[in-house]
Amino acid sequence: MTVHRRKKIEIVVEAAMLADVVEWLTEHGVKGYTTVPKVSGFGRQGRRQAEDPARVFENVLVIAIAGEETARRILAESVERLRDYAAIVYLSDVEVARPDHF
Amino acid sequence: MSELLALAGANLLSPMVLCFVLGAVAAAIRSDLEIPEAIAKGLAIYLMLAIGMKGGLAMAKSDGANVLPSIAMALALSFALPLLAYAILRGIRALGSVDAAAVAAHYGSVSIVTFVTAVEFLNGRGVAFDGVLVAMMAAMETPAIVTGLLLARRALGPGTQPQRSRARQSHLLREVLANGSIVVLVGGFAIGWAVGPSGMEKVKPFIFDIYNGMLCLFLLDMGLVAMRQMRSVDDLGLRLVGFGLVMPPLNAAIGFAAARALGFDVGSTALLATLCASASYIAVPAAMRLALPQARPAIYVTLSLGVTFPFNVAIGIPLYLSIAQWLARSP
Repeated sequence: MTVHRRKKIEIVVEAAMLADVVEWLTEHGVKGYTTVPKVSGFGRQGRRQAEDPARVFENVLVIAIAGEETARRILAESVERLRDYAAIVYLSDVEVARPDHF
Repeated sequence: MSELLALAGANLLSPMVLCFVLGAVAAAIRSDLEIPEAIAKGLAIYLMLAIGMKGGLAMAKSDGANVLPSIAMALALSFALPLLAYAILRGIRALGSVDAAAVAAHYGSVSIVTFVTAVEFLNGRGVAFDGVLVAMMAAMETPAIVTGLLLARRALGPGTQPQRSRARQSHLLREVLANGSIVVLVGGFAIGWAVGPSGMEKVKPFIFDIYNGMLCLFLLDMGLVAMRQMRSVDDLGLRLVGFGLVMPPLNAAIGFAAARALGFDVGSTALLATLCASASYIAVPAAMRLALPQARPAIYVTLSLGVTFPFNVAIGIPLYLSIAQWLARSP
């Protein structure tokens, strides 16, 4: 089987920003994404776990796969775009079987 | 003074407030007690609907003449209250201007749960109040957000705002104007007003009879939530905690003046003071995260939920009622 190299973009971001992040990925031509709600953890912003009624301490995980050029543009833009928000953005290499999907 | 302590004691001895204390104790001893999120959300919707319908029913029984001036006053209060909070926070050098603007917005807006607790406190003492207070509460929720954002914009200066996407803007508008609790509250109010006493008779067991029991469960959860937030209070520092305790009575004083201008009775006066004294911990934090990400949520959520909310439930509400009673006796 032929496999194709792509980049996986993972973004852990505060839940309030989910709609914003998804719109931003779509603007770059990302064709699809997966979200994992209610992820919790600890980092620069302290403990991130939704315990307050406004859920401002809640994180979500967004996973998308794209070509290398797109993924790098997104990574570069994320610095300014998510500057003041709780967010982690990183890329990794993945292999896919259906290249036209990504 | 002894009368006030007796009132405070009586407030603490209602089953609803004791459930709040139970939740707080459970969180303090790190019990694994947890109200499942879906149930907590369901309870919140029930409470908003019930309090809206009760307010609407009270409106149906009154002539409604005071509605417009009362709502205009509520809007004006919510716009103006953040200015005092901001001036104090900057004056005592407790916070930078952006954090101070965010905190100020919380103290201009209202806490629905504090209001609901105050309503039950009045009901338990047979003190009557005007249904228009429910409409005033709905009106007070959002204007403070605008004032807070304007204060922050002034502090940040032009050109420092991060780029705003369409998704973020429409999300913010939805959060501010169409957030679930306001929709259910205002909708319940309209329904209660429209159907009147005979219509509300049909839902009496659900909306009236079991209401206090539901409130017990809800306040149990709020006790857990508030106490967990209180664990972060140590990080705030003395000045901020002092602000969280002093700001409610100061805002309540403005509420007393506004109630006098509107010619309110004792119960309505106590409730308006409670509204002014309370600080939002749901609608405003959510809006601030979207519109003012530079402000630190650990500060504003901890202050409003971990300091001001428990203060109002335990001490503030009986205090505001006894002041309202005292004001009614003195000319």
